[in-house]
Amino acid sequence: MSAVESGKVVIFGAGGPVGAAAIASLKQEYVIRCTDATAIEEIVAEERRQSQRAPLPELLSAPHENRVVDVTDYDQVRAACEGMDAAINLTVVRPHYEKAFTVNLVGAYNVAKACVETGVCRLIHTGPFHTALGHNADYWHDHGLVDDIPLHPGDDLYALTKYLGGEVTRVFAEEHDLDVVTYLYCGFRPREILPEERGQGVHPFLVSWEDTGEAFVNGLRVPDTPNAYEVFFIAAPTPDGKHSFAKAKRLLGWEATDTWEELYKRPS
Amino acid sequence: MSNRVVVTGADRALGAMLCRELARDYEIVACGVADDTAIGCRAVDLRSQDSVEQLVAGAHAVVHTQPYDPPKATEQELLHLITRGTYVLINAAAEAQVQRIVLISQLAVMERYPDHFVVDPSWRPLPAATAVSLAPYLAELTCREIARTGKIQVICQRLGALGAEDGTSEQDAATEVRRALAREMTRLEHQWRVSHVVSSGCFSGVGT
Repeated sequence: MSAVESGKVVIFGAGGPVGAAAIASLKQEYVIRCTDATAIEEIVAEERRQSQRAPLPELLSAPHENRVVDVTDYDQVRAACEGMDAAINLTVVRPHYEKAFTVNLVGAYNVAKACVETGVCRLIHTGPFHTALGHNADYWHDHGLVDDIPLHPGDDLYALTKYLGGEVTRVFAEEHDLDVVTYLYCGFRPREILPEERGQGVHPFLVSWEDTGEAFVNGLRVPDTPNAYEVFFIAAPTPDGKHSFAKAKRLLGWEATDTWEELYKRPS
Repeated sequence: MSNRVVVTGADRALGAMLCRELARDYEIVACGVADDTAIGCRAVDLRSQDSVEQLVAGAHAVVHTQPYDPPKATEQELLHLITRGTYVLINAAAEAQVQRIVLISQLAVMERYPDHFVVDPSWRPLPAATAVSLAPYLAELTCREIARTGKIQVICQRLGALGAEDGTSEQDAATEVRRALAREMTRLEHQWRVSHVVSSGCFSGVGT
């Protein structure tokens, strides 16, 4: 394994808010190939935000590149990986019956396979950590949850298809010389806390979009991890005791800077 | 209770054999990727929710052999067919109050362990990073995770190559599927079970 200190990085799903955060954090020190199923130019021009306060990607100019790539099309994915040092897969489809499988699972297969075939040595894969799926094995009532526990997606389309995509990526990582760092998320919000939000409480497993961007720098630069496929919870620790985020700090050197005291502490 | 059993993959060797064997005791609804009137098999795309809802209506159980012997397809199409097909099938079956799925998977997912290891069904599968190898493994995960919710029972049987020297004989395959269909299971025990069905070779007689 080797750290990717600089060089070229392809981002799949760069048009979403996590992609926007990744672009903002990586653009100074990496040359980025920003790809999405929708043209980044169109996303920016039409201000297609995921939610009202979600960030939009910056439209980068040369030496960076913007490209339309459908992750369900292997040839497009492989071409996007050509010449890259690292890849970041942020693609996701949630409620759509067909695309959930083709993007979250087949897309993950295409990205992992293309990385192996083109010599990309580090892949950052992403997915959700769900705890409120409505079945008895969903960890909802548990505490002290750590990064490496097996996911129990139940019958939830989004959770299951991303889980299967993660398993496919793990198999590629363990069979080939592919170094995969996987980030699991639950909730996102902007860094800025509005006055009316103060003291209103916090959802556990919450991270600011701004902090997610910085985590990609750490994920590219970590020199070594114990396993070929290493999973990390990416969020800020909160006093509820539900999740531990110590592994990201220990192995990646990343910890959230936005820690939400203003949300979970009563205003004095 | 209904005596009807749906068999997927009925246009392939294993599925067709199971249809013949099980027809002695059950009313069989056979489906595959293509119509085959000679064996009473009708074409059903398991990814189609409407088609699958009709397929499983009134059934007691489903014997899902497609992940064991899938049709020829591109890598991407194969993964989509097996995972989404299994997802649609198991959810439609649960919705229709089908009691049980018997999932037929491939023993090949365990064959990457060294021969001198005593491998039983509790060991972690080791599929290769190919669509052909991953497809049955992903079908298992789909069924296991949905069974974990308690909405349906799944008995997974991993079979070796049908009729091969170190594989699974037709007779053993039919006997074990019949046994899986008849097995008593309560809602208080694990709703996912996995076993190896092998007639000879290194997996034979180990925790099956």
